[in-house]
Amino acid sequence: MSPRCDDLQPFVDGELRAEEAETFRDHLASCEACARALFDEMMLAACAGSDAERARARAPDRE
Amino acid sequence: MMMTITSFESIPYARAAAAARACSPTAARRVAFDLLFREHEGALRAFARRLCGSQTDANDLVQDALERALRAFETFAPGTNERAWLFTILHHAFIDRCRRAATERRGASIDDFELAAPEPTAPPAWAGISPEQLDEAVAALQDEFRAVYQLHAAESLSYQEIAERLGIPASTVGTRLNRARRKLRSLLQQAAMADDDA
Repeated sequence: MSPRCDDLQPFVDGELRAEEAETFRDHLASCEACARALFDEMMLAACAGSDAERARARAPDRE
Repeated sequence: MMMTITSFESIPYARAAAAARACSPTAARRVAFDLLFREHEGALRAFARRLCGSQTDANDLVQDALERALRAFETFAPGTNERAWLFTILHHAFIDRCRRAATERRGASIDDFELAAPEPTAPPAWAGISPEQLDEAVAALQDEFRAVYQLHAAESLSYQEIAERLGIPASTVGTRLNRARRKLRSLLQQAAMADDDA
């Protein structure tokens, strides 16, 4: 665990500045823990995203 | 009457599927893959944009993932969460991209960046949970965590926007989001294990 590992979540959420994101991508190349944590984040995003879309599809358009 | 297909974008899903059944197995598989990929392409491109930081790099990453997914489609198991499967491939492609870039920057060997353990090759069991189970897990979160999670997941608000909406510091948004996701994964894992035991 290095200080860079703390940047995983803001990286995934697009909250890092461009140069910080680039540094984190470099970190991802060699940090197994962050690569796996990113995988977990992506799996949750995949499940939640598809569910949110289904919910939107179910909801009537109120416009 | 012979039906000529010029573009799958212009015909409904059911007609494309019927056309696929009339083709050779290889052509049918390709049509099935195209339909699957098209359904999730928007989500893949949006996430790739967040990972890469630039549209050009994101497009390259999605193209790489598309080619990998096409090669792996024969091993795709029906019943697998399609989006989770595609996101698994996107993850592999992205990590490989990071390693290649690091190698080029440092002039190092790619071996320096190999992971100690093999990467996951399939979505975890909890990625196959139903929408109802996900709803239940979100509902089970404590109020302050659920509010932050839903504002971020459903409305795609930034940390600062959520902070202003809820009247809390932006750093607290990040902390609560992190804890909400950890708890959600734990709840989904429990739900998946309960399904296995049933």
